Amino acid sequence: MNLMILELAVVVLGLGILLGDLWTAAHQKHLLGYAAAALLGVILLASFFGLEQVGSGPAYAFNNMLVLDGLAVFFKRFFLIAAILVLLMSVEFSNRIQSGISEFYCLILFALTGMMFAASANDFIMVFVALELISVTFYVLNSFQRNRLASLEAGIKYLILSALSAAFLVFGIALVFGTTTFTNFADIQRALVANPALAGNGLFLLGVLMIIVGLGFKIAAFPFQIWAPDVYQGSPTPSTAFLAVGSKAAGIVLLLRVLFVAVPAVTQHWSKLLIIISAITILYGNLCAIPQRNLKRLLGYSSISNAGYLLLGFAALSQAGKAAILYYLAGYLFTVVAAFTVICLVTRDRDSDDITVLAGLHRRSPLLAMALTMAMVSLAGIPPLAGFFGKFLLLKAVVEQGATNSAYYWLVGITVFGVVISLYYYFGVIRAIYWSKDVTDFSPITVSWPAKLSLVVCMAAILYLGLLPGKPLKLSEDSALALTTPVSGSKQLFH
Amino acid sequence: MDLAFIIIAVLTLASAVAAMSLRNLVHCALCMVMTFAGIALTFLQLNAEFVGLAQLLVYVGAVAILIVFAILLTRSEDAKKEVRFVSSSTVVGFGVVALVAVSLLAAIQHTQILPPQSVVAPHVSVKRIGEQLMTNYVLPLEVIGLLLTAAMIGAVVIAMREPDPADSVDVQQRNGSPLKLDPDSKKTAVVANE
Amino acid sequence: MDSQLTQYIPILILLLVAIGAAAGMLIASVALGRWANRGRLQNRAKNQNINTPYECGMIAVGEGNTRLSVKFYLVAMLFILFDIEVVFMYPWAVVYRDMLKTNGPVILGSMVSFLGILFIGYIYALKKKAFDWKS
Repeated sequence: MNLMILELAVVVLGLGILLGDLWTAAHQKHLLGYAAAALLGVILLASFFGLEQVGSGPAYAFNNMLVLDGLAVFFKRFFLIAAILVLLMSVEFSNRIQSGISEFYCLILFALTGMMFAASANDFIMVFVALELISVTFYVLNSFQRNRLASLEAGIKYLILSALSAAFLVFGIALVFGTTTFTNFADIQRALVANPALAGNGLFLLGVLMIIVGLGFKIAAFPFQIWAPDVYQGSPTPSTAFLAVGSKAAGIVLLLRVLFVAVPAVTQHWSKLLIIISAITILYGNLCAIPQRNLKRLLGYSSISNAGYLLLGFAALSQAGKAAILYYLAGYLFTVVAAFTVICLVTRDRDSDDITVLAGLHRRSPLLAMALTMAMVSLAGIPPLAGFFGKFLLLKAVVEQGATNSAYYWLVGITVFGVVISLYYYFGVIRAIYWSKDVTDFSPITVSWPAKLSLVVCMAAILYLGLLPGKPLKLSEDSALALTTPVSGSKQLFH
Repeated sequence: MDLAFIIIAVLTLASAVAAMSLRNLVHCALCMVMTFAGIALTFLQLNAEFVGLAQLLVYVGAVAILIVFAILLTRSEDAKKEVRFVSSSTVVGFGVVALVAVSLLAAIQHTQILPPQSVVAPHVSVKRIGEQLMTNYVLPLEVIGLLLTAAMIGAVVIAMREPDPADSVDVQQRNGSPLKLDPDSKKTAVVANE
Repeated sequence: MDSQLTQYIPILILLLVAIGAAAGMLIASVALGRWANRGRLQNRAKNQNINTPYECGMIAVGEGNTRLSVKFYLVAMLFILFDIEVVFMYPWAVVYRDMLKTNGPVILGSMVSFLGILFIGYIYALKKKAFDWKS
């Protein structure tokens, strides 16, 4: 039970917010958001004291359904930080939500619970249930502005495509269960070692492929990325931010566990598939982002290309690649949240997310201008910020594998090409801030102190991850240790 | 393959096709109910009694009502748009279906015979499901409770009219008895278009 | 046919009877109408009112599918949610008596917390007047 004490605390907090809403006056509801963020901060702090015994080794609970290892703890803290920042953002957003802001906080907490369960899921049943919890809350979060057609459209699109991908996931799980009679990751891995013929079993492979389809939808990787731009554009900005960070990271952690814990023997053979998906995702995201004028849509395509970068770490099939994924995700979290917080604050009083709303931002609010500039520079991968070092680690992991397969060098080339393209549109955003010609509105933007705090934290983290990578890199390497395959039988196939 | 399976399968597939292709939305909904019932029968035929009855209870019972309500909530003329039968999306759709079908068939063809212990499916009684649910799968059950609560919040937040219509921007105020025409239908119109 | 499906043959028979009864009523009403109208079929336009459904006072106008209030939809949604909840309670109830002796706290605690979470959602819906038809 104490393996899931953090999740339990988040659930209780979410239900408490739901009940607290009923007895809170309308003008005080923003306090509920701050309270939720503060209590999540307490839970985050508690995780540093309560979970230290994890360092000794993974702990299992509920018949091996849940695992608490370094990776799970890393992602739990990741999701907690993301939720705190998104909650602070949604307090700023509350004047644009008519249908009850407390429910919005509550649903963010429920989604957070799903993500935290996903971080320690060690069984396909748990994977499915956690993903469904995330999806169902996002159906609501995306269509929360029910007076805006765009928001409802985003919700419906997400609902239909997410349901389709869930169908693939369930079908895949059923096929894997049918061929191995297990749903537990460790059991499946053992079955693969005991019966190597399974890795050549068509039905089993098809099942694994369908599971990858279901998870690929969540991270918006290439053939399953269609939904991302529309949904990102239409949803309320805090939902978009949480979708971009939390939901994607949940997909990544599950993909890590499935590919490297459940079916490592299959993954070894599928490096080509991962290379191709990664390359096309990077190209697609970056090329389609070029003509975009809507900020949220731009970030939607940027999120697709970032899924591609993250897949580089998968394609590398090495311990360095996995650690690089974690490092890159950490930088991505602060970068994207900073960008969306700025967008949320700038577009608070307007109905448009067009890039022109940024005109003259450096005179309206220097802090916002600086935060958005830093976020864009980091996303573009310019030193010395977090995005640069993350991309560097990912590429390094891929280059290290170059000796085994020359396709890796092609992958590096495509990635560098994609990064160069991305410079154009990220700097388009910066140009819109500082060098817009016809600026009419110079009214200063007031930023509340919690929002300032969250922006400062994001900027500090972006700088820290870019300048002093030693400690966080050690942390991500340690966390990735959970993904080393203990059984040596599968490794021989690779050499 | 026995005769009962063939009859049920043909019935299910035919009603699924009808649900997609009929013009009148109410007829589509009724055909979909037929599909749900066919799937429930398939479960029953596979001796999965509990799943079959749950399918009947939830899908044929509740989801069908919800779908009919959703259709009655929307203006019927909205849905009567002319749809070209052969469009690029149809071709792509059939392509995807063919691809999935071929890969499934190929996979089934190339599958070795499974280890014998897994071929004999145990008889799954409600009691065994209950035992499993209460021992191994307690945690997913709790998460499902949370999921249902989230869905309930979503239903209330999205489907309920504003408590105070003054602060809504473009949703018109409604008054009168619930059976009157409902201008609060921007979102339902979107539902119908999808 | 060795499957369990055979035990549902009575239901199949019931289904056939139900279909037969519905179809029979339709056919009988058409046949009776023909028979009653047999002399008047020549000047159809004049006697059209004879064939309209009988209703007090008003002449039926418009299509059959009028639009309902969104309230119905909300109730249907909540019905599905509680329906699913009942589906999970059924296997629990079957094993409850046996497991209470061996594993009491788990079987009680799990269902109490499952229902507790949903109960909080129920209180929320109640307080938000989701079940209130007057407002």
